[in-house]
Amino acid sequence: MRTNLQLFVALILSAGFMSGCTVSEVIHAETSHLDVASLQISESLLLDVGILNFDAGVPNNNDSEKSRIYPEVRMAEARYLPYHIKTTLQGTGFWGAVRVVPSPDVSTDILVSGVIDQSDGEFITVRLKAVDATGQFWFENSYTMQTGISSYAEYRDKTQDPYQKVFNDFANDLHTHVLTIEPQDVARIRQVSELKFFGDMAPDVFGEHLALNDEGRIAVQRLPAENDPMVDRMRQIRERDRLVVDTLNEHYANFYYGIALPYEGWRKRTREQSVAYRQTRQSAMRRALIGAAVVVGSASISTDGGYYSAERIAKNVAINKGWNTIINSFRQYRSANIHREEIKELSESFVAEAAPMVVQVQGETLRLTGTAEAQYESWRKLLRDIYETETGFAEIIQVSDPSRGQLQPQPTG
Amino acid sequence: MARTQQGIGFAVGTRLVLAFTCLMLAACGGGSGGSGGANGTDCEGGATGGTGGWGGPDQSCDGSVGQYPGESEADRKARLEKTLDESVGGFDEVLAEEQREISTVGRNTEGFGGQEGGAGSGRVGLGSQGSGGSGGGNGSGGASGEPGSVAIPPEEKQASIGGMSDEEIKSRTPEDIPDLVSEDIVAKQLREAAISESDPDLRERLWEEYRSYNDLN
Repeated sequence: MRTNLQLFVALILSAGFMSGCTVSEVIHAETSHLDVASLQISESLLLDVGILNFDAGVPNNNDSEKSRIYPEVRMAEARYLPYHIKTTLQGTGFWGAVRVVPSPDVSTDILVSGVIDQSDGEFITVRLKAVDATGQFWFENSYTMQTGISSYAEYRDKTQDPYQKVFNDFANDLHTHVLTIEPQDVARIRQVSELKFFGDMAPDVFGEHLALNDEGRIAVQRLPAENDPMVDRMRQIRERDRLVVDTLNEHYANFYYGIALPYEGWRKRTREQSVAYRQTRQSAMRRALIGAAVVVGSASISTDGGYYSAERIAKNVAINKGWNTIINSFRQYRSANIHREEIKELSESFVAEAAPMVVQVQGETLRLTGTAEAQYESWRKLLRDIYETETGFAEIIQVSDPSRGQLQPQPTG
Repeated sequence: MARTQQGIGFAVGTRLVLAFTCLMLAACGGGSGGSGGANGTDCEGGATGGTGGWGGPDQSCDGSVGQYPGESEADRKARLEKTLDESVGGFDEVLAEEQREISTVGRNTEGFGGQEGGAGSGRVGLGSQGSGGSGGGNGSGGASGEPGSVAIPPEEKQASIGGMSDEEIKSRTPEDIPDLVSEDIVAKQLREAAISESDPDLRERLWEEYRSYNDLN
């Protein structure tokens, strides 16, 4: 009898204790070291990197209330994160020009693309893929990390993004991969990307310098003579193509700097709410389990005494306490939705700030790429005429249907 | 427009001859592009025949720029090259104007500890582009000092060996260093760093590093 009484007291105390406790996690921000070049690398070994704006990764039939994925926020992130990868890669010294590019057709040695799988200020998961100009698949990895409170601290090094680990990991992987490539293959990638551009601008001159090999990769069939005046013209035009992309990157930079503060504010506060939401739900779940255990435990213990016996009274108190704990846990569970509402409001506020900037940068991109493409079209015609004059060939060529993108390597990976 | 203006000078003298030619082509089934005015080609209806336009270089249906009557191939080539150069120059001006506009937008770098972004407004230019060999490897439009950037300061970078003579390179290379055909990137970096190092002590340390990396000791 005495044992049962002690058990009841223990159950009541534990139920009372658990109903008042909250769960707090200690979250440390994950970090990783960024490999940087200690020596300047010969220019002939540097590859240019083009980074596409990311796929926002918004699922079909997305319900923002449930998924906490806000498409407009993701659209802003899909432009912000590639630019930060650009700055990270540039800082390593392992690469040539690193640019955010508006389309996969832009001439570059390595093309990086990505999909945002998760980003809520606390967790980030992005899938990043790298392919070179020959169509050779390098790798595709999923990069994830959890931020900590220190990730957003005022005293932190603000050149480091709260998601910096992901960018560093990717930059390190890209460098690790390029180390496996022989210098002659690096040169080959550069040749292919250059000849792809040449073939696009002057398909009648350079259209047959590249071809798909048995492995579905783009291979150099022959190289133009270095003293060919057409090569000089093409390089002159390619510089303009790079200049166009660099100018676009100035617009992207304006967007990046413009959105940085509101985006960080959104991430910081969304993280706080996400953590609170998760912890509240976990706490409610634990309380419900404790309550259920107390009810079940108390009910299963037999009481031999009369109706007013101390054991029976203790049993009823324990069951009552258990039920109260369960009911409170449901209330707590529901109260977690306050944090979801808060996230929704934060996201709407951020979207109000970010959306006009996204529209503006999209408009600038369309305008500048449109201007450039019209210009390239007229240059294609001029180049063809020059070629015809130089060689006497007068082939009928569909100049309005440029070969850019026609020679497509077979997808792998 | 330019073509029309250029052509006015000798349009009168050649008009009848060209009109006659076009009529003959049309009569031979060449289509009806013909002599329809000073603005060049009528490519509608699948006609591939007569060339239009008077005086100036003709524009054919496939969009190519035609040829002045009596113009030699060399003259035509020179004219086309000049047109291309002018067009490229004009495009440079368009981009320069674009960059001037961008430079008027102030960037708030408060979120990066007040550090100025290296992509710096309006810093892009052809001067910052490496034209190198088969492309690539060109510096992007100013990127130092950007967030996340930990680029090596210019003063710490080693001088390029590109400008050195073969003798100079040989004099800076110890005799026990072989000419490795299959150097990887790291070995190549070490070799270039050692050759370009002016301090003999530092240079020897770099060569030691090179030997150690290539298992030459």
